[in-house]
Amino acid sequence: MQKIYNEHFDETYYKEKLDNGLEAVIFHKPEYISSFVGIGTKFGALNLKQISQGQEYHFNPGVAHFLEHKLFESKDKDLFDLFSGLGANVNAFTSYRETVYHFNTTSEDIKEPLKLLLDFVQKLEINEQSVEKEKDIIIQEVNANKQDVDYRLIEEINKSLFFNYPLKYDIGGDEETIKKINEKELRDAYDINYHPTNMVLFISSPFDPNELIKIIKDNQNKKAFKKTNIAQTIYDKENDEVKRKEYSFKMDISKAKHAYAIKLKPNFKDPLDCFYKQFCMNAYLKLYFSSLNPDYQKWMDKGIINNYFEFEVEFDMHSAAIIFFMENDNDNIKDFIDEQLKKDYLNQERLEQLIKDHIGVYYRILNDIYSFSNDYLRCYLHGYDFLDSINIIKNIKIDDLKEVYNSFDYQNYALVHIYPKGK
Amino acid sequence: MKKTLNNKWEDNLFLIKTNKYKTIDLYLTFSNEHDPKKHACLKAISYFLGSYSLKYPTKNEMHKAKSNLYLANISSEIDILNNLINFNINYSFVNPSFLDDVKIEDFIDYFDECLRNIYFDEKILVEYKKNYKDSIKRKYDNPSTYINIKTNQILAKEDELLKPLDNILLKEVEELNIEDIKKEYFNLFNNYELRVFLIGDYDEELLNYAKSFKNNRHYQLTSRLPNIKKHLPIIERKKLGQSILNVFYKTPYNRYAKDFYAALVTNCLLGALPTSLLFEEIREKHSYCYFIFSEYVKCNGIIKISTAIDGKNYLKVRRLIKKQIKRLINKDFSEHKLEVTKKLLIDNINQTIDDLSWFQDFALKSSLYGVFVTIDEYKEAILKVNRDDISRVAKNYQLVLTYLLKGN
Repeated sequence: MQKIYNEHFDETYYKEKLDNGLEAVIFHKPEYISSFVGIGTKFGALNLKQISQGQEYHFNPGVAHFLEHKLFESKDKDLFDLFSGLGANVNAFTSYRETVYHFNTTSEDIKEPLKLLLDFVQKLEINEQSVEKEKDIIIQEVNANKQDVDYRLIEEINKSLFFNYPLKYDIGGDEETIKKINEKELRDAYDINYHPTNMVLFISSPFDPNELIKIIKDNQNKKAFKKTNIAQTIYDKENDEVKRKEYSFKMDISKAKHAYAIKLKPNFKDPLDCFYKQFCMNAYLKLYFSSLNPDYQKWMDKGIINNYFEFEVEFDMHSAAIIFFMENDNDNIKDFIDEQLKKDYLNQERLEQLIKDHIGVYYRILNDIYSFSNDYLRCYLHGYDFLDSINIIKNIKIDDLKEVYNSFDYQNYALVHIYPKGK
Repeated sequence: MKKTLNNKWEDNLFLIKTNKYKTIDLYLTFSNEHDPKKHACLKAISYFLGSYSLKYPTKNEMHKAKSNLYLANISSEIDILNNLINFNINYSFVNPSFLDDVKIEDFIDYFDECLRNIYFDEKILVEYKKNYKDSIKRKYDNPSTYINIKTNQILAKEDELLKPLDNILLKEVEELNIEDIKKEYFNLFNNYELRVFLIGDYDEELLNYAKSFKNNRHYQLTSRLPNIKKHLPIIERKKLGQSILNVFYKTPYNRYAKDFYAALVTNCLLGALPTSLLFEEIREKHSYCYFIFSEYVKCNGIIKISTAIDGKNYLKVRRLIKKQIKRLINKDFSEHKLEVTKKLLIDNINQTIDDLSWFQDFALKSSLYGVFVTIDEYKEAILKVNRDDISRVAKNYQLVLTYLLKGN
């Protein structure tokens, strides 16, 4: 095992790649009594078109999420019950870029739940009947989200931005696509994405890392995995332009809400470059559109913005967008944002404050095993070490922000408005 | 009166010295008898606190000051327990031993400035009122929070004890003036009961600062249970895809009850865990919902069951909920299920030890209730709960309110 000490945060952790390709990362936290164990695959809602061993696969939107639901099923046992009997809380989540199964426990025995997690994730036991039965539950989950106005705003802005990129679909799919998913599709998705070479096991625990790696190796050595090429996800060519320039609809709300998204052309060399550019863009916009900007209070005073106003920078290796959200009865979100972006609010002193903010956030996250573990695992699945990333942001200067900002073209945009009924 | 909670209490001061965390956390909890005007004032104070002070009178200047301290964070929240309103202030900052350019005095000075020199300004009050109205409108727009508001308003009318549940307070906030807020702010330091928590690798200087907060008062949390009459089921139609159902039971088991631990386990068995009867029956077996859970309100003994369903299954779900409570009464669950429930509950309690905000809340509630047990004693009491206890507790579940927000 490779031992790593991060001096900045005073954290010691270990990494090892097992013979079957599974990567293990273990944080040794002797002062805690809780353990967190998570195993993740780089298979999420975006991975709809894949090639493996020369064969092409086209999955229905929502298949990764559906698979997550079905992994908890076992022919002859109730997994929730088994974990609970061991004093472990088990759960899972699917995002656009990964699926993670995890448990946390304060039990003195971590061996049994750890083995159980590895065993159930590395074996899919489903049949057509159980697949059909799950559809109603998933449809209800997806429908519940659609009642949330903020969720609808993001959903519609993504639909406006993308012709082909799967971000235009909800993570869970929709009623139509969920109904189409069948046992074969789930098995195919599982077989090509849940191989150990595509997965990472993360542990944060007071237990001896050497003991833990031994438990993991003993468990993995008893299993045979088919030799496989890691599934490659392919994306249809995405236009630079947006699909839908402006879209509005009504909901049962009291005040209009707006989203203004600018579609950018992704120009990232690797995941770390993507992280760096996302941070720089985020910092750039924060210098404009947060209380770090002295004009922010003036906008609040004049009622141009309220506490709903915010923005997001959404970068990944295949797409890039910045999205602004506003709540008011005017349709002036684009004019307001564009007008401010013409000004110069860049200031090295304020940038340094922003960097200190982020450093403070890193420390805070480390207090919470659950949040830290999930953040670390997700970053690691996508190619970089969460703790090391602080070295990237520490020394960023204003010129770096300018360089990143100027590397994009801002002419392609989309607007979504949700109006109150009757207006 | 000195009580012990793992020997950490010294009068009004609760200390945990540990180098486990990267931050140091100072919590101040101010408690008083609830009334709506006080509540509205505290909401406003919460808006000003950590955002505007005499030295940092704008958000920009305050942000600068916070950033220089690596985002030292002051947050506040209001928590109501029966007759008491509790104003909780949390100050969390990175342990200066990790930082080269900040000293503990800087952190103390910043907090003291924000706490004692809040800048109350008419213009900011106008901004606050506007933001508050907007945030309330958003709550009404969201079906999940909308139904909570409606059911809280119904219950609030039942008994003086439940009146604080109706916490929208639009009229009270609208009527606020700066003088009222300043008066209540002054009251915080002079007429409220104060509890101080310090958790982290603090030094002598910070300890002395924490000790400087003196407590002058005591307010007793009432052990009285609320009187709630039974309502006919309420169905409100709204343009929604999915319906939301809230069901309320009253029980005689608040924190002071002899059967408190049995009530805690009963609620978990009913619907607080993924191994619960409600989850297994209504979601897993019948696929009627994606989530369903029950919440036990320890200060007043109310059980609240929440779920989102297809409106056409309302009666079936209602019947199934009643059926699970009957199962508890009839001991129609296995010993294994009870053991698994207790195990998970104990695991959740164990995690309190690692999570500093949960730990602080555990200690605070112990002090507010005046019921001091160690975490080990708490766990032991849970382990002793048996099937007869569950049956006895479930027999005292009385349905009081069913509210369905029905989608078209």
